Amino acid sequence: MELKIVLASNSPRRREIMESLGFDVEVIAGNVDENIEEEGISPELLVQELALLKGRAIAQKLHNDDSRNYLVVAADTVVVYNNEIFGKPQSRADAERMLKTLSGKKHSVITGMAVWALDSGKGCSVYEKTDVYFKKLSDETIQAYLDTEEYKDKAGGYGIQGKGICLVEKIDGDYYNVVGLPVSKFHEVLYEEHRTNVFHGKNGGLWKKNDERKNTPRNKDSV
Amino acid sequence: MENYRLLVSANAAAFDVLTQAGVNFEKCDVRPAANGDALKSFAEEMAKDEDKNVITVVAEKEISDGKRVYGIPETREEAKEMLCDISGGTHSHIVRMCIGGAGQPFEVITAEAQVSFKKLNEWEIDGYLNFDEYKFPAAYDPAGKGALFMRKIQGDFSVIKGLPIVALMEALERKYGITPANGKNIWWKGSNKE
Repeated sequence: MELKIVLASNSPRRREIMESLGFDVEVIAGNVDENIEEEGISPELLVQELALLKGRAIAQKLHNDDSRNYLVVAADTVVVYNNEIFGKPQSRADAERMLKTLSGKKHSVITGMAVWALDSGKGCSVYEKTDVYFKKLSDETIQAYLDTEEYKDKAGGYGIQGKGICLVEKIDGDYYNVVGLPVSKFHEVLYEEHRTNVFHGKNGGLWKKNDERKNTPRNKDSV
Repeated sequence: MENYRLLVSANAAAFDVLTQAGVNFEKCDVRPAANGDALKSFAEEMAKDEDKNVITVVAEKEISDGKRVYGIPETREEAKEMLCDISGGTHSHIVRMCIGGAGQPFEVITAEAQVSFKKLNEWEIDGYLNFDEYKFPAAYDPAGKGALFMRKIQGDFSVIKGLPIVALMEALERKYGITPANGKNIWWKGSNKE
């Protein structure tokens, strides 16, 4: 039976990552209560629990649909600095506070990812951590960045996949984890936990049919 | 306030970085025949007939693991041999970027980022090659399915794509006083890509 990836996420960035790699993805996002009331829970555990919550809601929704073999993928990302979790800023002033705090410092981006294979009923969760080193930012640069309004809806108040790349001096870890989905880990989980060969089925299967990325003229001249 | 124009010769992925970063630039379709010292003379030649407010940038990337430099494979067999070679190890993406013009001397800046590659199985290599996505240096596309093999990056991700954006940002400020805050037709303020 055809395998279909369902992304249980509202994040356009996660969808963009999957589609830029050529995956054929269907997005079904649910509304889950993201308040986890466990005192002292580590960020690593928190993001995995949130990913499990999001994924479970969609897996249950698809449970009775046996037309396809669904693979449900859910994720949650947080920015952590000095044991403080930075979520999405509530306002421009909140984003400014975050960027000023992160300026010239190292912080971590942690993504929890849950993957369910509905045919086996097997689900698992993992996390990936990437260290991000910010440039020392002047007040003028911070204000110019805030003027772009890119901080909205971004954990930590910046988006590395946009103009925020100019704020980052270097990273240590998976780049796509910082954007919101650790694709290298996804590949690893598919094989090790679900015995799924990600490259199976060149046209179809997990991939978009007639994937346009392969050796196109645009790619051929890339050096 | 003086405004500038930015003329860039680089690969397609490097242009993507500039667009992503919100930089206002013009593409130069001509690329230097060789990397290294030739970069500076190429950039000087490129700038020769341009207006006095044109800043010229030439960026070229190579991939090396310290033992060999990886070019673009000609055949599937060559691609397979390269992927086997980098499997499970660490290799470097090195960009040499020459910037100058608009009244400032040309200088070459080097930026490096390291990639730790997954230890690949035979089925992963063959499966990847079946997608014909190997016409890249070292036989993988960091912005395509090749990302599935990149376990860790140490450095600036923009280097992997071919243009060190942080180094460019610093050079623009140091040489021309151009910052994201004052824009000068290059950065977010005053950029038509805002």
